[in-house]
Amino acid sequence: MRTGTIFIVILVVLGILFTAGCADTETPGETGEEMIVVGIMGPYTGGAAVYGNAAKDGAMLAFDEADLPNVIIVVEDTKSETREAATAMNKMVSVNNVQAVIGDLISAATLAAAPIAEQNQVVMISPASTSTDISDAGDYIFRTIPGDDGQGIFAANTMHERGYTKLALLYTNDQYGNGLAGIISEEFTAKGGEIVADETYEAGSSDMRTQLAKIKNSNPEVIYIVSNTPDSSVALLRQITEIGIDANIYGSEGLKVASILELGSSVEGIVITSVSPESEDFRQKYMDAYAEEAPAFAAQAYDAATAIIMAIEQGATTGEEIKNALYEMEFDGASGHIKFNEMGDVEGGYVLVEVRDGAFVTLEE
Amino acid sequence: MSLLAQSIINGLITGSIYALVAAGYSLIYSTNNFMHFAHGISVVAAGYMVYWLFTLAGTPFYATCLITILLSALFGLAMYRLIYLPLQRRGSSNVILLIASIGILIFFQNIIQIAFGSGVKLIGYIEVSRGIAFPGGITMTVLQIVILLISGIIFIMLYQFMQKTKLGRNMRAVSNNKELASIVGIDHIRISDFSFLIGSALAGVAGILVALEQNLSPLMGTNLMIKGFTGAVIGGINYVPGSIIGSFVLGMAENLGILVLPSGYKDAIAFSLLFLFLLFKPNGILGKKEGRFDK
Repeated sequence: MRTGTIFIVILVVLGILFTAGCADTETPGETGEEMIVVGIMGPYTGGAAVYGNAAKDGAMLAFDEADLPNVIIVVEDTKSETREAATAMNKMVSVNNVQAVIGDLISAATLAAAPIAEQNQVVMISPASTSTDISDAGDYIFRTIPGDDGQGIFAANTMHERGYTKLALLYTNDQYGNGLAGIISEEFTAKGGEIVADETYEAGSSDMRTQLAKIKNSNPEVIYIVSNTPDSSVALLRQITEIGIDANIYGSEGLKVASILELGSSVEGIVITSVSPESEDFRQKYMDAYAEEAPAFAAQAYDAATAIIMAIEQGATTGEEIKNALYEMEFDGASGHIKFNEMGDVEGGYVLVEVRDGAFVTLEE
Repeated sequence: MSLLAQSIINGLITGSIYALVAAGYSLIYSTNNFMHFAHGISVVAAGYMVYWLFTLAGTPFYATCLITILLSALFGLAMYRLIYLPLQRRGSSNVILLIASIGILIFFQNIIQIAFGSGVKLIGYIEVSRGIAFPGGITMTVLQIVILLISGIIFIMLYQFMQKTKLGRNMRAVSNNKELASIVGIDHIRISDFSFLIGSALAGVAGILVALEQNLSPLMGTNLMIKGFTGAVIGGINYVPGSIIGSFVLGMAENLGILVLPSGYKDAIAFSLLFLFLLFKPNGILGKKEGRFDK
């Protein structure tokens, strides 16, 4: 009996260890009083891990370059879950005494952690959360990616200008999906277009056949997909082909993941609305450091880290001082020009990316 | 009309995948009487096995399938012999075994994630192409037809096995009454061995089909397990044919339900159904009466 219990305890502990993943300090330096602790949080396991790791690598690139002697980095895995995000933020605030945090990625997770950061005067910069609610999340909450209103308006305009009038929406049933789809729907109908189908799916699910059957039945000219988990993106793109939908396919930047290219000829011609691409300089740097193309959000995370580094270099040591420095600064970052407005948002621009010959090609505007 | 027909077909396809998971699960449950939640990981492990053998190592496809089913069966047996049986011998209660099974599930999910990465994996055996259009506005891919056929054949074989063979009858005897079965000389450990072997082989088949039809991601096992479990409860968790029927009911309910309700309610429909059955018919559609072995 006793060995049985011990065995289970070991199993559970191992499970926790593995799921906790990266929950350790990257640079175990001295925790002297003059040290400034910066947190990085995001999904490093779970459905959105691809994005989370890209953002972490992007941010670490900036910290490695700056090599600040008085900064300690703490990394927390949030598995793109709201509960985990709140726990991670609480832990970093109370245990690690962080002054600034880069993350989270998924809007819902960022919004779950934001009140804790705000209350404890900890700066939070998200490299990927685009929900419009982030703007109002608080004074300490920033982001280096423009909000959904920009992308929604851009997407609706593009589809309208290309002459489409019947649009079907298929989106993930969360803060990001509902927010972006809502804006597109509003803009597109305001321009005289018609929303013929409005379907959702749970993030991470891989069976959308009946949703797609409903979309097919509504005869749309174009489908706009909002997806932020690669497994759902791959599943739904494949099922669109299999079920025989002829409409043109547009989607948000979440579709810009390498795994969809494996679907081959069936994804040719898909158009993705995406924030302006990262600078050539950053792309090269990332390639040198990690030997792969910079994935989505790496540049935004690099800029978030750069902003914090600049604030610290200017002498900021507390969350409040970093926050004040952020509102003052302005620089040309890897993802574009960074200047935080009074909501902590950046302007940003958008481009269209098309799948051509099995690669993502940025279209000239 | 075509939308309704297509949704029924979609329900059947979804249902048959749930049923393959549920059949193995309920086979193991009925003879062992504890929740083997790690059954979900057997499905995922089989999927990754296909990815590894076929996509990465270039093994011929049919050989891959054979090896995968075989290894799945052994994987299941190993879980029983190395983890559950030693725990049982030390007198662990079924709750302990349940917790151990969740531990195994999480443990192997993370092992797979470490080994293969967290990204989506595609098998690439069949090129993605437009399905065949049938009269009545139904579109189905060849693979989906194959899935329906294979699961149909497997369910018939499983039923015949349980009814006609000595081993199958012994399994049913153990599931009916363990003590009585051991009095008449049935070795219940041997029966458990076989239930894990056969149940996990079924998980292997499910894994291969899921890998081909959907994609692979390390965490998909939890979802499959929950849906398989829900299907099993609806149909009768301690009776294999019941859990198969329950899974089809679940697949149908999900796909037909969102014709009327917004599609965001898909999971809500599944779990409402689970609640209703737990409240009003806890033994499921075909399940046996409570009390026979819940002593």
